[in-house]
Amino acid sequence: MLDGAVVATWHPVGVSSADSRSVDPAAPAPAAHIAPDPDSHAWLERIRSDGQTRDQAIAELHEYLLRAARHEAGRRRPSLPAHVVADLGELAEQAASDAAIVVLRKLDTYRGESRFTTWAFKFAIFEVSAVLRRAAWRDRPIVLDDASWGRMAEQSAQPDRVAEFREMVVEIRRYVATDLTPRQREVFTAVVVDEVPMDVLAERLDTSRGAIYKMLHDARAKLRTRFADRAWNEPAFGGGER
Amino acid sequence: MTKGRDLIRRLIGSAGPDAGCEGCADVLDIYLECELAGLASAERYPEAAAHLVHCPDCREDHDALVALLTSIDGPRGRLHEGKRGADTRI
Repeated sequence: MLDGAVVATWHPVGVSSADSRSVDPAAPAPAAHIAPDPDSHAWLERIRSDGQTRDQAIAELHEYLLRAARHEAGRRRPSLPAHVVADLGELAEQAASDAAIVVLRKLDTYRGESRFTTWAFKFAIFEVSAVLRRAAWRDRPIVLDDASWGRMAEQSAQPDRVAEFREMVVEIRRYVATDLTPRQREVFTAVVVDEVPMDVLAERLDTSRGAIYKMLHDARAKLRTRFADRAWNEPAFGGGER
Repeated sequence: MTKGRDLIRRLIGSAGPDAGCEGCADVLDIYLECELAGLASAERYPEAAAHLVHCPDCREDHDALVALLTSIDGPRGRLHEGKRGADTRI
């Protein structure tokens, strides 16, 4: 859990991004295992058995994960560049295979609190999302664009509040320049202002998505101290709400 | 959530516990089954709910899993029967 101080974990070599979100060694221990529903129990029994039963279960699992990866790839297709769309089938296959490895490695952490298939699908989504984000940004430089700051206020505020929000953005931008460390500034600007996916930024900076989020979390906390007494940082206005 | 609130949260977030990417990922399957069943997922997992507000990548993963699960008609839905859902053309 992040609450002020967070310990970053660097991206271990050879581990995919979907498996490298660790940020908090003090996180609560997993809940006790509970009895899974009959379908989930059957999945576990088959995967934990031997021989042909296990092989067939793993093949079925892979098929499920592939369908999940294809579903998400299809959903994202309209927003993806042409070179990624051309490789979509291959990327979905790659994500499903990676997800199957993660599912089998993490099988003992499944606690039966959701259906087994929901739990397994989660890893397919993590993998395919990360693969597609990276593919979409392949060979694309991260350019921190000054104009993005201006567009943010125009696009985000209701018409009657554009001036107020423009002023707020200008002020926040000033504190981004003066209060944040160079790395916090880089992460904040890329993720928040230029909307670079954290998976992509993590890869470029040779770190993990969790570490990027920690930097962003700390940067936002610093900025919040500047605005503690502002109306728009109060719960009634939405800034202090979760 | 209004566009103004979105902008404020995007820029400065909000105080309070945040599950982080890993903590959110750990419970996302349970969170979503609660959410789709109409149960109070954000009350049960407030730290994950806060994280989903503040983390664009995890929010995107959440939305993707919602889209997948809602494309399946329950545990005996299309994916579970081996048929490809309507949105799976690639």
